[in-house]
Amino acid sequence: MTATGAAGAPDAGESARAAALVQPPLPVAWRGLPAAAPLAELLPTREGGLRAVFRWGLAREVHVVTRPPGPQQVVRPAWVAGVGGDEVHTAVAAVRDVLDSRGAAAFVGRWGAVGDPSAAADADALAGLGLGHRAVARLLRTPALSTREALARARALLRVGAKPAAAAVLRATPGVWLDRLTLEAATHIAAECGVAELFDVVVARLVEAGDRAGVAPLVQLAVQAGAFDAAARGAEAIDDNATLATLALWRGDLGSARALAAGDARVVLVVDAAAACLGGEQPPRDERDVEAMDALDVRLAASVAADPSDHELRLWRVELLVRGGRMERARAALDRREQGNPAEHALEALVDDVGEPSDVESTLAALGVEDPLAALGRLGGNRTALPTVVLEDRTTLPTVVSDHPGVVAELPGVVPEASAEGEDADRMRLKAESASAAGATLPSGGRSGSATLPSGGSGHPGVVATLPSGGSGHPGVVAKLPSGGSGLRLLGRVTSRLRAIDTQHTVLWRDGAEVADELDAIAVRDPRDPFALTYAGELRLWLGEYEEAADRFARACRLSNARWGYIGLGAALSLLGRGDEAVATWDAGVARLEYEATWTYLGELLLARGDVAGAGVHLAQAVRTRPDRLGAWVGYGRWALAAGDAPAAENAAAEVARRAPALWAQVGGASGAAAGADDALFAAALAALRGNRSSHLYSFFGADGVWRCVRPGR
Amino acid sequence: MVVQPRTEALRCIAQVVHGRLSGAIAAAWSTASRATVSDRLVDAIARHDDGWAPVDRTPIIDPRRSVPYDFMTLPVDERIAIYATGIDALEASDPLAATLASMHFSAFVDASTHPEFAAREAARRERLAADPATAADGYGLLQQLDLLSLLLCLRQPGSDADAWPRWSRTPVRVDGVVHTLEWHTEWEAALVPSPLRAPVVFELAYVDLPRTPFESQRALLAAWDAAPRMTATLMLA
Repeated sequence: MTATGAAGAPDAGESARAAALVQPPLPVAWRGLPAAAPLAELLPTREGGLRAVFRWGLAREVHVVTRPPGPQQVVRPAWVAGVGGDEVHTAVAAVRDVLDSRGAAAFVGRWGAVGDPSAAADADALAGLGLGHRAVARLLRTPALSTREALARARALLRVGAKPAAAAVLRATPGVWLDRLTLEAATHIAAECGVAELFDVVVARLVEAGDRAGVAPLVQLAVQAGAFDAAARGAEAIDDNATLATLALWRGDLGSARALAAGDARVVLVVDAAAACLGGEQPPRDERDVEAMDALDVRLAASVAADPSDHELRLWRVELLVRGGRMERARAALDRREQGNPAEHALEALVDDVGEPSDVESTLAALGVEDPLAALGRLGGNRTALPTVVLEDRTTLPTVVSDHPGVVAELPGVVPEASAEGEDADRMRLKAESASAAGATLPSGGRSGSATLPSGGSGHPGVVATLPSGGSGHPGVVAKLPSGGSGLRLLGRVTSRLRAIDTQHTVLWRDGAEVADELDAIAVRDPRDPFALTYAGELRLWLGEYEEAADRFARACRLSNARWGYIGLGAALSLLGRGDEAVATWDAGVARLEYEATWTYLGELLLARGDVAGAGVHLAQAVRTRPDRLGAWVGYGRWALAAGDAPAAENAAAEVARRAPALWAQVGGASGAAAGADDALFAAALAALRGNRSSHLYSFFGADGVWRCVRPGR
Repeated sequence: MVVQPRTEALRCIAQVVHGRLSGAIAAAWSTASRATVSDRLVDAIARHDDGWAPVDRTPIIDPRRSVPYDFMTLPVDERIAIYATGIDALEASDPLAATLASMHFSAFVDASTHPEFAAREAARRERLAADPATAADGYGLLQQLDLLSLLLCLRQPGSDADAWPRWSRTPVRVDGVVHTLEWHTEWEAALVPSPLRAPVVFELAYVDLPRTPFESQRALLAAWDAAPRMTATLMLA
């Protein structure tokens, strides 16, 4: 990777050589490359060519690489790192070159040095065009021939958001590790993709090489990725007993944990606290127990005071105090800023009821918790609650349940949802609720969906289970046993709303119609939640399927008064040419519709009806309050032309060109400040956008009829 | 105004919005011991804080703390005036709603220091002559759903836990059952056990002011005018 700081100035000979190299073969006038862009570096490539690096501004680079038989453009589009504006034009230029078969490719930062840049180039360039799904298909079409190539592909797939595809590439990666840089790359990508298998390979290589310093951070990465067995092997190799003790504790193996913890004061303290909380009887039986508990509390309090960020120790202290009946002190020791930790939730439930013992009983009875402390005990030794966002895997569970019935039995409160395949959603929900009501408690007292449980063994690859969430009716939570792992990680809560949001974002690298169908399926699975319907409707709007969109939004409106139902239904009706019904729909939800999305659609409708003044009010309000709503700018541009406000129209065109260069280029617009305000361009852009007026993703149909979805530039 | 301190903002939620949220929850309430809540009671619960509407249009600076007053910190004399105005308005439309609001607000005012308010409201309740059992039941539900709505407005993920008032730890208990509020995401929560026949979906309007000290009422109003009016869809299951 080239340094991003001040690069050494090349000598005159090199500059001349680079200039000769660059000027004649450049196929296009790069919009993002100033004529005076300074040559920052000139580097030899492995293939015997040269890489000329032009760098200007803060984050803009163009790499020009010679490779036999001729030169190729290699661009590092800064927009990939979230930078927009002018950098996007660079990317568009690259994209145009791809379309023109001129051999543009994208340079993928440091990963370009360890892999196949052309693979990454495909992904980047296609992602720039909103063709992520094509990039994914292309990169998966043929297996990678080398580790480096596989890593480059995985990295490229990550860049277009296709994490599952990247993980699939990594899992099929040939185990030929070339050098330290490759190992590092593999590890980080594996951690990002959650591919535990690679840790074993990497750790083994480093252990073989005697690289103890290199193994230590990998062990921690492996723990974070849930690759507990690989972490344990790595820890054993470098005698990292603290980590081994922690892993033993998480398995509920207090004896091993205690033996391994010797010599590490903090881990000893953790194990002591765990032993006091998980073993013995409650409350303390005699004075000696009380004294021992007090002494332990003093040690824990001192450690927490020394390091207030040590959440794990603090939780153990709270639990110890709860166990000893010191509820006021437990309350004081809680840190309520911590959200999402199961132990925190459970403990908070207990200490919040201080002073009203009957409430404790009734609360816990209502939760179906017969023995709250025992329920807490089922958390095992893990109070760190590794937070991870996961996508639910509903295809794995039926197999797992049938192959490993014991796994489900180990988890009190687990409803093997997928095992009820074929049952309708209501019955499944009833099943979940009855399981909860019957006292099938979650480890944290039935109140939280995120925990780590001892699984009692290993070797259950890819176990995924869905837990009920109290009586809420939400499908709840995902649990996962890492392949080869010996501890069960229950991961973050996945509500239908979050699932719908995550699913919608996959349009960046998946086929739109496929994603729309998946959103429909989410709505079927959780018929009480309106959000899957509104997201499904929104995507249908983007795809130009207005009747289908109207159907989804109308169902959402019948289900709840969520504003998106009304906004979307009105939008769909308006796009179907049923303007009066659209206005009536928006009026019906008027109290909920003081919102820029409505202003955009309503402004367009008013403009189409010749109400220039009314349209101006709404469209101006839309772009002022949410300037990242691309469709609003297009509509505003049309209004400005209709109103004779040329400067406003030019400004709107420039905004569209800056935020959606690929779209603007397609309809024939120019870039930059003189983007060319023209009603035909605006109209063509709106037509290409179909019903998309989103502020976070824009989609359009290309001249080739292919639907594309892109993150907007800023 | 309900003011929720967050890391970088003061999230301001109008009392009327909070009241409507209470009403929306009441409308969806359905348990074994209370199959439904009457429309009249739902309406009374939803409108219990309507008296705050004129005050909440613009925030008022608390000069001691350089932040806006909220419904707890506004000086009691001003609160009493707001309570009285709100109850008067309710009385004009529904005596039961006025009775419940009178009971509700009287509990917040120390009768020994403000005997006039206490006496006036006692006389009002006698004049309205609501059925005692109905009033007691409605008042109990109003208290609990008011609390629940405030918890939703105050203890949202991302709020500053250090600023949570102590009373917000009071459990929500209706008809002898404690319902625990469990947050799933910033805008999704659930009651456990759930007393709702269907999830409550509520469009929560709010304004995020910068969490910086305001030197004057003028500075506060400038920030208030500049802050965008936000709406988020809250779902309670």
